[in-house]
Amino acid sequence: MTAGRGAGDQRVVVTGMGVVSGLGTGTAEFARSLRAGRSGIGPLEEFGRAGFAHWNVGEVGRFEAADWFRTEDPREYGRAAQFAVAATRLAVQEAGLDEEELRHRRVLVSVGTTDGGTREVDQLAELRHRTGEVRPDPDIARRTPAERLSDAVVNELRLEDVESVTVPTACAAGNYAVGQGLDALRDGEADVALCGGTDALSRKTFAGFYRLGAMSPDVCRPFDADRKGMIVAEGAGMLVLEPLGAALARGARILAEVLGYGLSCDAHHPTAPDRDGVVRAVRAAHRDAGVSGAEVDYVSAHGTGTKANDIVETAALREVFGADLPPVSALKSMLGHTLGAASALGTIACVLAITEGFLPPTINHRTRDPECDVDCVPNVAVAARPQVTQNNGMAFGGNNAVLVLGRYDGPGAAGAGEGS
Amino acid sequence: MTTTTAARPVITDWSALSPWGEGADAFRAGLASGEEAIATVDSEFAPGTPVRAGIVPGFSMEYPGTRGLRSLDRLTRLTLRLSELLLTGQEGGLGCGPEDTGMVFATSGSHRTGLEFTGRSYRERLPFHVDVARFPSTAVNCAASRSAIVHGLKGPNTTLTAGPAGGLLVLGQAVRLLRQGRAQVLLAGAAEEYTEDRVLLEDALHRGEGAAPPVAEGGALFVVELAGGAAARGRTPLATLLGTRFRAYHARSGGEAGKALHRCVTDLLDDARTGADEITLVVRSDPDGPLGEQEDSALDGLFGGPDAVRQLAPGHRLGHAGSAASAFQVAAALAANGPRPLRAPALITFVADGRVGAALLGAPPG
Repeated sequence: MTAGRGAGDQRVVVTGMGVVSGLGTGTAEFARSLRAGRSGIGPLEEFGRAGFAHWNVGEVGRFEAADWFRTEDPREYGRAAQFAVAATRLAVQEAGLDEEELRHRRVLVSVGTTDGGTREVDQLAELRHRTGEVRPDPDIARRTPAERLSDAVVNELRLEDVESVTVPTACAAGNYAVGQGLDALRDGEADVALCGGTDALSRKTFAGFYRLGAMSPDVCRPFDADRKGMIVAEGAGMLVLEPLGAALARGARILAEVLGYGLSCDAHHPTAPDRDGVVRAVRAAHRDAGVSGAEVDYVSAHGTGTKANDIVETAALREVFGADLPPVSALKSMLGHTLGAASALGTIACVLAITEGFLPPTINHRTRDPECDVDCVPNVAVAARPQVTQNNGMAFGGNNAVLVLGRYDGPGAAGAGEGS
Repeated sequence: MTTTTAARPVITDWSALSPWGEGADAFRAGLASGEEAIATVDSEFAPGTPVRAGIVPGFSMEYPGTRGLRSLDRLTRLTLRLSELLLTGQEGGLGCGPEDTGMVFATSGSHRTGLEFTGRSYRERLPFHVDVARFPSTAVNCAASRSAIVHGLKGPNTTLTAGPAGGLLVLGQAVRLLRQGRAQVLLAGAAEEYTEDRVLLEDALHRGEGAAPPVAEGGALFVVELAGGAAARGRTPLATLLGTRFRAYHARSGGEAGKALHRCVTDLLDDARTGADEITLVVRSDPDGPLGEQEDSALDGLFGGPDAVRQLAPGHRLGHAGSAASAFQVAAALAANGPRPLRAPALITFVADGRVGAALLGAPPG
């Protein structure tokens, strides 16, 4: 930030996206899974199930970090950082940005997360328990600091004129990161923003949510009368953001416009969501985007499938939208809750809804909860041509972040047909 | 006040909770005396063995038994105390609604909390017999979001983790939020906790027992707002935030910290249209060893020699404070001439493994 320069109001667009998830690697496979209403949920394989009575999770599955690293040694980084690097490489590739050229640009790298290097902290805790040695293993220890997530991207891409920041605002972190990218580009303080979120499954988070009774024993059924909770998952989503003018000048394919975002804090309870806090974030996002509720065609819900979340989120949306509430679906029914990656993957789904012409479904849906009065696009994707889409993120600590995306129809538009 | 002047981001107040004590006055006194604040505490893992660290004096090492606070880790309690110190200094409050007041905060989180939480999962008979009351503390955003709950801050609540850059990054992020009208007043700063687990982690990151400098805790927090709003709310600016800038360098590709910092500061001064000759104070990070030499050589190159400009390096007196180190440096720039507003530009720099950064403060507008 620099006080000498006037605040610009650049339009900001998405030119590339990268996905690592239980629903596929890369946006094409991710989009096919969302359209097909596929489930990425299965039994836990990443660490021991012993002692748990149920263990369904959303794992990425086979992931070879070495496939994505060219300059750095992937063993220097934890699993979440490795996911972030892979998703960034995919996004930069989709944006058609030459990595050598990127090194000469001013870049913001912002990576959201809930757990940072917790997967590796788990390993340190296990070693301490097993051996009694309190000194951490240096090879594991250096993968644990949370800033390693954004640093992995910066180091692997050999960026130099760069602001590198990890945003540990828990389960809304992906939206925070994209919002930071938007603000930096609007202000003319970056040429390109690489932003999104990442998390790897950890025993800490699995055991914690399990103990809270927040986890479903089988599947995640957001907005369903019989919903039993969330399913924890892992993955990463990264986006390339550029000012519209710069994207046009280099002949980039423009996927969508980032219209705006809103932040709020419940300042109410460490874990329970608060309707008024969510309402304020949604209203702030609409104001920043210059849209009214009636102009929003689709909402990707935070939709964790817990009793509390879905009721509070529905009430907040009804408060803002009244009778004009568009379809509201929950990706977490398919993906599980990818924590810090969740709202980044939600953002990517909101862009895909625009470019691919469909609304992702809420799967596993049987009976609508009367307290969750939304059209959740039950079980089957629907063809649509949304102009404006909204992505909700709500986190522990009452950290709310809501993002609004818009169809870009000008020159360079990715161009979307009706849904198939 | 002109429109341009009114839009300048300013710091109107600050506080610190540091090994020099509680509050800005204690920080100023410690800085002025140059007193080394590093103390000796008893090792928790090897009782009888002394550990050197920068501890906030009088801040209990134990988790208090008080209900409601029992589940809060040291980092969160330090942050609550720090924000309380800053807010009690605001007679009549911050002057705007809770929805327009937020927090932008940098920390590494509590390494100990994560280790203990998961450790219990391994120790107990069943793996989910964890201390669920401490689950929220395992998230890095706990300290800032708890501060929001306690002080009713309903605006943007952002936590960042960026190693030693944290205390400078929060200032830049706060200004972006203010410029976009997302808040009117932001508490921006950084804090870290002392635990022996953090000492062991730092040693491991430095690859050897006792290899890391003494760990320090505490933090500094600043009231950041636009000059026009500050005037309307009756607060007098202490400094203008002229800018922040960051760079990475890659030793394996021939990058050097000194060259990166030189370029970083040059870009920052260009952006802020400020000449190096206007700067009257430099607060540097001054790490031990070759990195510190790189910082010195970059500053010598910019200013023409070590005696050309007044320099401070509070880190040696306080200990290694992680993301709070750069927040302490900003506090030092504001404290260097007593409680008066800044009269000339001050530069804050840091060098770290692979990263450099700088912030520029100036005299208040008008």
